[in-house]
Order: sequence, then C-alpha cells, then structure tokens
Amino acid sequence: MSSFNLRRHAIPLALAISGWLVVAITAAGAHTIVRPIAVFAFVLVGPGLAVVRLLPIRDLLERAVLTLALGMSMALLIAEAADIRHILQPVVVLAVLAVICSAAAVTEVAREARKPC
Amino acid sequence: MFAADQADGEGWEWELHVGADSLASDWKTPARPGLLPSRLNSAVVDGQVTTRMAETTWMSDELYEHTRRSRDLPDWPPSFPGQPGTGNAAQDGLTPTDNATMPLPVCTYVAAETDSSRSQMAAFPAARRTPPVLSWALFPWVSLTLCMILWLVALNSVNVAGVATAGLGLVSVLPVTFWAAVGLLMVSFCWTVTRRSSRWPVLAAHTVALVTVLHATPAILYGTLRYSWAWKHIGIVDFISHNGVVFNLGGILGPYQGWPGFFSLNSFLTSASGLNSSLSYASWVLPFNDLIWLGPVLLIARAFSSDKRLIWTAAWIFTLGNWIGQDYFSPQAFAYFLYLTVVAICVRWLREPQSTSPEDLPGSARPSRYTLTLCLLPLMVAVASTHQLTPFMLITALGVLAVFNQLQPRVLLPVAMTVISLGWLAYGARDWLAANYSQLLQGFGLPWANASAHLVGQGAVPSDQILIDWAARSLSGAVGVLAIIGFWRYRRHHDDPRVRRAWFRVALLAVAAIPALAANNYGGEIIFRVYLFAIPFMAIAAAAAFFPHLLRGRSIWTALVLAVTFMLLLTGFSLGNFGQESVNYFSPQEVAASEWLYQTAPRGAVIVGADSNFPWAFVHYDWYSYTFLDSTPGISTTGVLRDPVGTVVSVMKHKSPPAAYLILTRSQATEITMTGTWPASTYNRLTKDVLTSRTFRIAYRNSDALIFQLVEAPRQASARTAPGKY
Repeated sequence: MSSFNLRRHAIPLALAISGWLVVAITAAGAHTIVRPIAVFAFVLVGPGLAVVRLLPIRDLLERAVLTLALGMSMALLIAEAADIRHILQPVVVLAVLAVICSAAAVTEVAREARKPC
Repeated sequence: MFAADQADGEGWEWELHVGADSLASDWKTPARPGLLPSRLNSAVVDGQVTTRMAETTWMSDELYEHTRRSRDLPDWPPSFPGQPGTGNAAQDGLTPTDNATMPLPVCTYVAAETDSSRSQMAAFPAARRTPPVLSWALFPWVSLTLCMILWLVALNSVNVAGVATAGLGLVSVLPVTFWAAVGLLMVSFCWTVTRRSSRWPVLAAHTVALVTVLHATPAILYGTLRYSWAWKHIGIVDFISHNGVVFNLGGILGPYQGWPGFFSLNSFLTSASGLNSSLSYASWVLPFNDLIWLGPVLLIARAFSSDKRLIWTAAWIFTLGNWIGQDYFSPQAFAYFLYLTVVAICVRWLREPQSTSPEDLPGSARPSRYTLTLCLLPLMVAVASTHQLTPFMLITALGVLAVFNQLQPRVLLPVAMTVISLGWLAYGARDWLAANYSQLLQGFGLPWANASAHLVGQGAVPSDQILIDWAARSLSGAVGVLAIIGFWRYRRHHDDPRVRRAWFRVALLAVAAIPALAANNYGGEIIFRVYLFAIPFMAIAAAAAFFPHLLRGRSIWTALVLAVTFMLLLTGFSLGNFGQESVNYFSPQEVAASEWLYQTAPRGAVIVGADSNFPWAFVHYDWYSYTFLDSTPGISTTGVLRDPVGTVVSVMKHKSPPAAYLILTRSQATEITMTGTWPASTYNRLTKDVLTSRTFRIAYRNSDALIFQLVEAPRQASARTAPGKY
C-alpha cells in the first residue's frame, strides 16, 4: 500500500468534488452566469469522465467520445426516471449524478492507491 | 544486435536491442519467411541517438502507421524527426531500397541516450541537423487564420433580412468573402492532408473550422431559432419541466411522451441551470451536434485504417455530404450521436477476432468485451427511450454485423438492444402504439412508395426549389458513387484477406439502414433517414477513393482532384442545406408575433395557421389546440380553395373555444410556395379574403405576420382566465 499522493489523484478528487459543488450552486438558486456553465460542464464531462477513467482506454478521442456519450446518457436516464416519477427537482438529478461521479472517482483512487508508485 | 523469432504461423516477432541499456522495441510483421533485416542506420538528432532499422520485409500499412503513431515517430519519409527527406538516396544516406520512391519498408526508430551510442554521432551527416523549414509547416495555420478572418468579415456584411425573400436562401445572401473563406479552407486542407508530415492537430483544426463555418453561420447571423420543429421541441421541454412525463397523454404530445428521453435531459439542464427556457441555447445545439458527431465518425474510420488522410477526408465528406438538416435541437440528433458511438465501440473493440485493425498490436490496452458491453447499456437504453426510429436502426446495424460474424459477443449485443427496445415499447410507448398502430403499419412492405413519400404538393414548384432538390439529390448520389469507387479501390489495393474482411464491415454498415425503407414512410422522411444512417460509412468508403493505400494518393493531382470534389460537394451541401433557409429562417418580427400570441391567448384557445411553419408551441404546449389548413385531417385542400374564409371560420368556431386565432406569416407563405402544397396564389387569396372579410379583425400585425380573431368569437378574449406566461 503506497502513501496517498494528492497530485497523482488530483483529477479523480476534482471530479468527486465538482458534482457536489454544482449541487450546492444549484441548490443556492443563484441566477448567475456561473450556474449554467457549471451545470453544463459537469453534466457533459463529470460523470462520464469519472467512469471512463476506470476503463483501460488511453486514446484521447476514444475517451472524449465515451465521456460525452456516457455522461449524457446517464444524465438522460436519471432525469427521465425523475420525470416519470414526477420528481421535478433538478437538484435530485444532480445529486444522483454527483454520487455516481464520486463513487467512480473514489474507486479510481482506491485502485490506484493499491498500485506501487 | 538483434534477434528474430518466429512467433507463430502468421508472422515474425522481432526484438531489437541497441546496447545493453537502450530501449527495446518489438513488433509483428506479416509472414515473409526468409527475409531478414538488411541494414541498420544510426544517427543523432537533438542529442539523442536514433537508430533506424530498415529491412526488405513488408508489414501491413496499418501496423506500420500504428507503430509510427504509437511511438510518436515521424512518418516515412521524412527520414528523421523534423527533417524532411530529400528523396535522394545518396543524400539521405539510404540504400536504394530505403528511398522514398521505393515501397514502404518495415522500419522503426529507437532512441537512447547512451555514451556508447553517442560515438556514432560523427557518422551522421551534418545536413540532418539543420532546422526544418518552417514556412511549409506554417502554411496551413496561416491559411486557417486567414480563412477565419475572411469568415468573420463575411458575417459582418450579410443582409440577414434578405434570407426571407431570397430564392436560394442563405446561399443568395452570403457574400464573396464567405465563399472565399470556405474555398481557402478546402485548398488548405487538401494540401495539408496529402502531406506526409501533417499532424492531427492541423487536420483537426481544419475540420473544426469547416463545421464552425458551415453550421455556426446561421446561428450567429439569425439570432432566432432555425426550423419550426425546433420551436415545438422547446415547448415539449417546457411541458415536461412543468408536468413531468405522462405516458398516456395522447394527442399531438403523445409520441413525445412515449419517447421523452431527450426532452427530459433538456428539461433537467434548463431547470438546473436556472434558465427560463431551452431557447437560450437551442440555436447552438446545431453546430454542437455536428461537432460531436465527428468524434465517433473519426473513431469508426480509424477502426478501418490508420491512414490519417483517409480518416480526416472521411470526416470532411461526412460533414459536406450531410445536407439533410437533422442536426438541430431534436431527439434524433441526440440519438444519432449515441448510435454512432455504439457502432464505433463495436467496430473498434467488439469486432470479431479474425478482423484486423490498427489496434491489434501487442501492448495495446484493451478493455474486456463484457466491460465495454456494460458501458454500452446506458447508451442503448437512452437511444431506446429517446427516439422511435434510431433503436431499430441500431438493431439492424448490430444484427448485420452479427449475422456476418463481425461482432463479439456475437449474439449478446443485438439481443440486448432488441430486448431493451421492445421493453421500452411495452413500458413507455404502449399507449401511443395502441392508439396509432394502424399508422405504423401504413407502408409496410412498400419500399418504393415509402422512398418517394416525400414528393407531395399540387402546385407548381419554383425553379429555385427544383434546383435545390436536384443539387441535394446529386450530392447524395455523388457520395454514393464515390463510396462504391472507394470500396472497390481499397479492396483492389489490399490483398490480405483479413484486411478485406474488416473492410467488408464498411459496406455492411452502409447498407444496414436500407431495410427501413420497407417498414414505414416515417412521415415521408424515411429516404432521408436512411441516408443519414448510411453516410458515415459511405464517407469512409468515399475517402478510400482518394487514399486507397498508404502509398497511393501522394501526388499533387490527388490534392487537386480532392479539392475539386470538395468544391462540388460544397455546392450540393450549400444548396441542399442553406437553399431552403427562406423557409427555415424566422425573422425577429415573426418571433415577436408568436410571442405576442402566447402571451395573449388564454388556456384552451384554438390556434389556426395556413401551415405549421412558424415559431409555434414553444410554451404551454398542452394549453392550446392547433389546426393547420394544409395538413389537418378533415380539411380538404379543395375546401380551402373554394371557400377560404368559410373554412377558417368553421375551424375557429368548432367546439366553441374560449378564443381562436388565425396566424399568417411570411415563412408559412414561403413554405407553401416552395413545396407546392397549394396551387400558386392560393395563400395570397386566403390572406386577401380574410383581410377584406368583416368576420375577422386584426389582433396583431407587423411586417412579417398577421394575427386575426373572429369579430363574433364564441367567447371573446375577455373571457380568458389565465393568460399565458413564459
């Protein structure tokens, strides 16, 4: 078990935090230019990238396409399930996405931590 | 120095050692027993000892290119990093077999910083250490910059209002600088793509610039949302934001409630972002879609070839050939991206083991098939719950690959997609299907009738529209012919049965959508949808018409032919996609009229239009009922022609609504004229009769729109209780 290296785990940790940051911004209800940018950036990139980083895919384009496709698909399915259940609060959907993103990021950190430096 | 072992029955595996502490390199070559490495060249570049081994043995193009790319090595030639080869064998220090004019040898480069190797520095000609000539390398970047400047200049000099009346839509009003920008971009790309030393960033920059120039131009110029259907989709997002998904809603909202995925996603994004409506970003979804489609298209192309010229040319042909305008804010555009992604993963990672690919190399990271299949499941479910047609196109594509043994796991993926699609039909779309099954069966087994179902209209079509139609058809035909030529040329230049087998998948996927022609006419659009699903694969095959092999298509003539071809494709694209902008463009006056209508009309009002080509239903979709004189069942064209005022009055008084409005706009008139839905002058007669009739009063008027109400409406607008807000 190697010691925890913050720099090495910067991206998964940033991904894990980003979701909750966006949840906080949305829950605060502020109507600023930051809010749509944060929401769109997180939904399009965050969960998808966190999951794709678990796969042994190194090609940049492949990762980018899968990140976008997985991220949008997951957001779509969760939003759709919420709409079918008539849970019309976007924070709930964002929170589920943040959980997925955090879980994938933590899995990556745990997996990397087991590897020797 | 080096050792060779016959790895298996298919080829040789080599291991090259340069000194005790140098890097080692290994690769596989096709079976050429008896041919051994002929020479070993060493050189120093930037203080590094570079050893090049050249041999008379041959390796596959894909393997060579992948080896070069995966190790970030320069192409062959030039001989060394940043140093173009002279083409002269003596000057380059090469034997005749190494010359650029000779067939491609197996080669690799191994760099090592070792004292022992540095002793070889003296042996390397000083000329090799001279800095590369930057001017040619900078040319594409300079021309790209110039192109973008020309484009920005062009944007500032467009008379947007002219689009509404121009015979050829946006084509008629775009200035010379716009076409100069696109022309320069094409010439620059053709020159760049045929050079061996061009790298992907410059090719990618050209491709992104092409998509931006072609697809962001309308979004920047108009300031209003293109396409009337896109306005309707905004309204469905708005409905779901307020009401959620109601599967059994029925009516005109029924199909959208049965496949709500895309609308739910946008409802969530709009609400979470604190935006009032998805109208805030919908205009930009069009260039966004065109850009993201390129990602999987490039991946698919890379599954068949590692020749960057073929890959990027395919992306260009895809962009220029895709004229049919399904890239707007719509479920099909979103589902199409997911469709392409699933196919890309299948042809790259889930292919049948005997199929060759540039990725088939030792050391390539390869996710397990079942992990990838698991990753594809969310995409498949999203496709199934988003769009009616795309799941079946995906089933067909996966099924064709499985039937011809080009997919692993062979059965799991098509079966999974079928189960997911049928499961969604049973769960979400059951109510709509029960009410509309007869409509679904219409046209079943009638491919010719379905393919020509888009040909409608009773009136004479303007000559401009005929030109646009023929340009679009010619473009589609040209892509098809290029694809056939490219498919044949690629096969002709590749004898390896495994490469040919892999290439066969391009043809399979290109024709996979054709059976849909026999299923339904899809509102007259099935022929266009089949083309949409075929074009990525046709574009890849078409690119092979120019670059069928790594050693072919290097001459200036190829660049010239490619540039001329692109110019012709651009002509077809411009007419096909921009030619109908007088219909698809809505002026600010038309938008203002619609905004007034939805602010004024009470819940339950009837809205009547000559047709649906105006900004409609973008708010409170479920509050109003709509009647369009050109397409509503029960309203015959002859009735409208015989007694326009009487027909409209009967529609507006039907069921005694709280209020009724007749909206007539410039874009409605243009669409009716261009499609020939009604005979010429019918629309003008309708407008004139309504204006002179004492039955109507003008409720709203501007230069592009008229909104009427009945003078003796059953219950006047004063009876409204809840005016619309948005």
